[in-house]
Amino acid sequence: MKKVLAIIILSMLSGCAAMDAYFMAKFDVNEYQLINDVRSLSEISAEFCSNQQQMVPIVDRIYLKSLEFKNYAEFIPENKSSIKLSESLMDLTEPLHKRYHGTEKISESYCKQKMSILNKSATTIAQVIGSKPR
Amino acid sequence: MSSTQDILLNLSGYEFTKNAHLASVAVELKELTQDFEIGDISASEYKELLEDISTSGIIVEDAAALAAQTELNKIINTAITIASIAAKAI
Repeated sequence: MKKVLAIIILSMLSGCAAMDAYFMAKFDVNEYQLINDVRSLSEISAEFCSNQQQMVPIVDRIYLKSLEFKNYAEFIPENKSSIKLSESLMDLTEPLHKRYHGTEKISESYCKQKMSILNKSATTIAQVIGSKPR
Repeated sequence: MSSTQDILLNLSGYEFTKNAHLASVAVELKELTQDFEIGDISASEYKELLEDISTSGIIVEDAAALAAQTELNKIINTAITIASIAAKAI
């Protein structure tokens, strides 16, 4: 009977998706902290959008936190999904960072919209990172 | 860049998605398209934000995949726990 149970479990794990799921990286408090920082910073920053100079240090912090998130997730084994999410987050923050270090004037509408998109994306990522198995 | 009318039409598709994240981004960007038409934001800012909506879509898809993987992990662990309890009982 024990052999039968072992065969059932092994056959369940033989599928690629099942193997990936079984060995997936577990909840990591540092990973969760970093995405939560991006989420919180984007949430409070919208009120500073009318002042381009005031936004520069906030944008720098958002960029740094998302870069830290990407670098932190990168070498954790079986962490493919988090790595993909962190790369997409960088796709949002990199142009923002470049724009705030450029010479062009930045509109308030752009800033508010960007922060809103960033906040929604960071919230979506935080939800799934926070739900990872313990 | 496609005409703003084409973009508005594409955004309407997102508005009726069941995903709250994408739906709200689409509604906001629809308003933004109107802002662009009246000259409130520059063309490069507008282009970047339109790219962001597709990145947002990728994030939603990858997040759903991670959520599904987490669920599968729970199911497998539950099955293993039940099997080991049953094995002990036999």
